[in-house]
Amino acid sequence: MDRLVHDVESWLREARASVAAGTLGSADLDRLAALLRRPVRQRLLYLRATDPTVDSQVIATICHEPVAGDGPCVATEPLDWPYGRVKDALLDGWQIIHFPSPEAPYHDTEIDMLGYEFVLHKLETYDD
Amino acid sequence: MIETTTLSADVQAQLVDDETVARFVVSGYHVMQPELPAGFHERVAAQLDALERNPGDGILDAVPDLQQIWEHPQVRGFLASLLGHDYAMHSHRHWHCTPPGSAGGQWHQDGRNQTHHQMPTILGFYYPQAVTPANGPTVILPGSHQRNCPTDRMGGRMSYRDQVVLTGAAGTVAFAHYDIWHTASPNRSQAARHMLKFLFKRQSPPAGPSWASTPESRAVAQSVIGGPRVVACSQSDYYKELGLRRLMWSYLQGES
Repeated sequence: MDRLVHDVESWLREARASVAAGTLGSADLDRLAALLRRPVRQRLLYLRATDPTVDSQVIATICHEPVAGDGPCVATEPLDWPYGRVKDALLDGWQIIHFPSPEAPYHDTEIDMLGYEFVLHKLETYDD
Repeated sequence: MIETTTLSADVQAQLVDDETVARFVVSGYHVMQPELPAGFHERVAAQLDALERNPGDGILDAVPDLQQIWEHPQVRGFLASLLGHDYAMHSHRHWHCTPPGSAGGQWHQDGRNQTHHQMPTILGFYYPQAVTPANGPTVILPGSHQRNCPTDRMGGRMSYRDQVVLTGAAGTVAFAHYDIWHTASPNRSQAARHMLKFLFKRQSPPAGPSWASTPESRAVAQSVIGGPRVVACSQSDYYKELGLRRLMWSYLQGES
């Protein structure tokens, strides 16, 4: 909800100035109501880490934005790697909604998928 | 299958050393720039541009010049080193034409996982045009050929920290273990990108090194096989990967 907080704080700054000037009116309140009515959607961040703990190193990433036409692709330019560890994403406000299963199939000599997958989300407001 | 002939002297001279084989065992890929006459790659690209439809397995008949790539001594020397001197070109091949605006693909391996501690098949990718990060390069994940992982668990369109973007000058040839994870990437340029994928098969199990093995190079190869991770992973995965590298290295030497 970073965007909503930012927009409401901005509205509050302007409202305080309007209160001081004695100009705060119903139109200002309508604008605040419109901000609060914007649809809330889920941003999804998939992180694969070397180990199933939040302080392990992130080795793969993809972020799905809830906007029409969003189609993340495999990067071909050096990536501005968002988070070194899963915990860094938590510190940035992402919340884990799926932890890697510690009961995944195990074979003593074989290796299969690469990394342990965490799914995180952030709720955000969007303009339709 | 198309049978290959006995190695000629110029191919024999291009057999690779132990270290090169070991690096392929570990990383699962190898890139080269075989030298061909000036204008060759441009001519191939123009012939591909002129095709009205994708001929599938018939691409070699449609563009016979492609045979010169796979007959090049450096190419044949590499393949003979990894697959044995009697290796064969498979009858399946494909022209991958990535048009401008293409979104690319998802991580996958071709077919199902083959016996990943052996080396029955090698993929050959030929790029007649320069490949840049913008025009849809193939992206591969080093070491992933050791992983017995179904395509739907490879991460879709994720970006991996240690992925390798196969860019290069026109005429770049890349080889990869059949099981390697790879994907097409978006083509953000204004022109189609061509890639020709061919398959090469082992015909007989290894009876010994089919490459130019020397004691000095073998020593280096041993350190490569026991070397560090090529892709970040857990310690337990790394230990198991070391075992799989050694299995493949032993297999190629005819020991298992």
